[in-house]
Amino acid sequence: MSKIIGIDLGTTNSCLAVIEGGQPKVIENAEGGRTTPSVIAYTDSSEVLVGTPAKRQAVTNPKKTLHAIKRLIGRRFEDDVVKKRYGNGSIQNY
Amino acid sequence: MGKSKDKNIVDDADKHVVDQDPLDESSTDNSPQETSVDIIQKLEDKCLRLNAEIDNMHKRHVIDIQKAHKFGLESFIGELLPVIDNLEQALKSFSSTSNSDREGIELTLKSFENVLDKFGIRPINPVDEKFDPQLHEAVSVIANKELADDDVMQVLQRGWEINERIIRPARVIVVKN
Repeated sequence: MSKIIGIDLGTTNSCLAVIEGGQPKVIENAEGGRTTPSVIAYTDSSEVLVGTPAKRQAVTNPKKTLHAIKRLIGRRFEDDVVKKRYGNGSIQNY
Repeated sequence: MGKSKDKNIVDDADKHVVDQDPLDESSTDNSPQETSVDIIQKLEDKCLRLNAEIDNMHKRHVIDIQKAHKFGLESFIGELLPVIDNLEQALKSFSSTSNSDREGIELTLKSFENVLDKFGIRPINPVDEKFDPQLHEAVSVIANKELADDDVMQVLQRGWEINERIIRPARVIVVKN
């Protein structure tokens, strides 16, 4: 039976729910949280971190940690908005 | 609500068709025979899907109950952690090591930790370990030529986990040269 899934891709947090028995049910993430920080990070060992772990290591790895990426969806890398936000060296390598 | 209403309408329509079947079969036409077979197939299919759905729901509920047992204490313990932090801070404030007050606090802290351990709640104290974002939260970075990149320089606050799930990550300062 096809399921209905709802995804709230938020600027700071994202959330996911399915309809179960006519009621929405939020799906927990691996850490047990009902919302997941909208953060993604690429580590030096080319590992991809998503959510809370990515947020926790942001200080150690600022250039390869992306947050509030929702604001940039649909824009090109040369776009002024992108340049303004990441002009100080962030996401230089991507 | 609108959804279930729609479903009812569909169900009613199905019933309607089924009710009509005996009438159709009484006629000599061949096509109604096929329709009833179709309907049976459809209903069988629906039955199968519903069965699968119930099975899945049952499995999910079992998992949910297991989780509730395993992690039910999570929020309660989360609120208790500052008490442990305070005891630790109190220990740090003593200048001499041989002090009966200090000993009392030490024993209190220890008995507290023993109780937590009994319920599968364990501290994360990553001294001399590599920084791991799954368990630790980097508060700041510091350069230190004696240590390698991503080593934990200092643990500001111990973290806690319950049955391998993080209640609170350890807050650490990480080396970055």
